[in-house]
Amino acid sequence: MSNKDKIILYIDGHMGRAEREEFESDLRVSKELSDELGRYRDFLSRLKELEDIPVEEDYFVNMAPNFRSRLRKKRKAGYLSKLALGATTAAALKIVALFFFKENRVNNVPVLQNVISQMNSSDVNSLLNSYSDQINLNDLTQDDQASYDSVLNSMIYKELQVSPNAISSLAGDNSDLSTMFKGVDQKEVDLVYNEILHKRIY
Amino acid sequence: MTDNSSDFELVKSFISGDESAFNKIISKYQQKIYWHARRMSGNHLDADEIVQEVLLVMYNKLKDFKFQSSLYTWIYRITATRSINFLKKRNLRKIFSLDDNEVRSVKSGSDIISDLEKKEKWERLEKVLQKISSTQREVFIMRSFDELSYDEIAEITGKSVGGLKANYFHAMKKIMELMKKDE
Repeated sequence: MSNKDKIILYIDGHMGRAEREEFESDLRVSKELSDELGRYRDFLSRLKELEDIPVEEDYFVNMAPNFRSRLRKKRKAGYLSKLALGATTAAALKIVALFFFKENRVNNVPVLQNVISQMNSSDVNSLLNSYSDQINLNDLTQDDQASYDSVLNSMIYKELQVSPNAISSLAGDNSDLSTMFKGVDQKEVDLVYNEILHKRIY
Repeated sequence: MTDNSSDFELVKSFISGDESAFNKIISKYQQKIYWHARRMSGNHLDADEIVQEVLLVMYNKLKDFKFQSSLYTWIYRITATRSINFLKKRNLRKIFSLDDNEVRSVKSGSDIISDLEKKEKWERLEKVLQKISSTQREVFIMRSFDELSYDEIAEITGKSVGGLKANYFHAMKKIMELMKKDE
């Protein structure tokens, strides 16, 4: 350990008893060590002078009022920024809501009808087959039934050249198709379709 | 240290809604807060900024103070933390050249030290203190100026006594070398 290190430990009071006694013994015989210790002590006493430095009292007298004034400004700014944030958030949420929750009012049925009217017999057949496999008329909502009725009507008209009114007349009570098919299972519907198609084609 | 019973009364009054009690707390501790911030930051402008941050934290958190330590220790802890945080921000700004430290130190012509002779000595020391790390500076200031024991410094900073002793040792060594070069 260097002399400087020992001096610092000695000044700071962190030498053990034996170590301190040895150091003090070295101090007595070494002028260099003694002068070095003197410089360190001198430095620390100069530091002490700088503990209490005269300052302009206005600064400390005004510290509390200045703090209060800044606190008021900060609160005001806080309210304004919260207000701005709230307004911005509300506007953003509205835009998001309009975008994501806006109901898709595009009715695809006319499109489907258009597509079906351009299809040939085999296309309609395969569509009918997949239609009967996948969709249960009883599960349809009122609106959906209306849509499917018109799609179904399109298919029937296209393939069978039978109008929906004619079907209703066949049923005898002017019911619409969904009412007609209520209680009828898919296999039966398929059979009816196939019978009609068979008659149509052959 | 400080009068704990009067601190207790002041805090109790403030919590009860007496705003003037907080002003009294400011008056009591403002010098200690300022000088620690000043010694850590090296100039009046930065010290003032730190002081305002400390007062704001005190104002917001005093209602939660449970006297698990003395009020002085609690305030000193806030001051020490805010000072270190400020220095970290300042260093970052320096790295990204967002702040011109030269300008700031020149602006300290708005300094509040009125005694010119002491001001000159103080500025010499400030320059030297700014050349050691903030952790070393912190313990050096607390030990040399505030004459706190290592246990008290450990309570304030949350660091180990052994670590603090080592930091003080290195700080003292470096400061002495720098002061010698300066002479």
